[in-house]
Amino acid sequence: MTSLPNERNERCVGVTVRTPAGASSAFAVEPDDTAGQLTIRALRHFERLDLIESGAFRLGLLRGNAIVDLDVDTLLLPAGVVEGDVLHLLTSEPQVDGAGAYAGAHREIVRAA
Amino acid sequence: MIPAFVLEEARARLEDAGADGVEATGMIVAGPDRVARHAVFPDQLANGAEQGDDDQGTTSHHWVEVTDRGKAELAVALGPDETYAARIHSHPGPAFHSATDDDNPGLRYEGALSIVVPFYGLGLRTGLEACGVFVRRGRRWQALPPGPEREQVVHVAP
Repeated sequence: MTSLPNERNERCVGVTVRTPAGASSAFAVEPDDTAGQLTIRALRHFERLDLIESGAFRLGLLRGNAIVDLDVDTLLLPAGVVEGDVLHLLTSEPQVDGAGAYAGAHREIVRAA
Repeated sequence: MIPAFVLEEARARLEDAGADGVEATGMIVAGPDRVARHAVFPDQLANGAEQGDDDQGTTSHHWVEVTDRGKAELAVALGPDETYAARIHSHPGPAFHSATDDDNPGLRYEGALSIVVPFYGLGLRTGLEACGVFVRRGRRWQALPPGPEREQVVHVAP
């Protein structure tokens, strides 16, 4: 039987991408797609639908009860993304609330939850 | 629609943080019917008061940040048919949407809600009446004062 190296990676796989709020949509991932490219495609799609606003985001791959962070240059299929996977857009910006002005890393920090 | 038990759950978490003199922040999960199911309080770091803050916390240095671990927890906590309908956080004093709150990228989509609970969560003891409620419209947070307009957008069920 003829061996077909990389055969598995030479086809698209279907994945779901979710926004931080949980909106979801299906995307096809090409063999040479990076996490950064899929992030841009997903953001454009969700922005058109008013389901997200522009900003800095990264992708996390849902694996069981954990999220595996993917660098922007990570090739998705070689990284183990498979048909049916769920990826989450996570904001790369500080996610801060408060009555006062956020000053980044600070002196009296308490783990609140 | 937010069942009262969801707000109670949030109030307990906000007051617990308030007992340590810090704010807390969470997200309210809703099903496809837009009925809230529960609140999630992810891993977070909070900064408390400084000497010289006034009693209302209006000149405070209070803030609370969802960590990277917390962001992942929020993603994992959602079921396939669930979304985050609102974020909810406490202030040491009055409920208002600060510049820090406005800049928070955690939940920004048309129709998203932001609930600000005054007095470290104590404001929720009387439901949403004493809280600030804001809705995302046209990429801005718009205040919904208590009354019919707020009721049209968010309704608390017993």
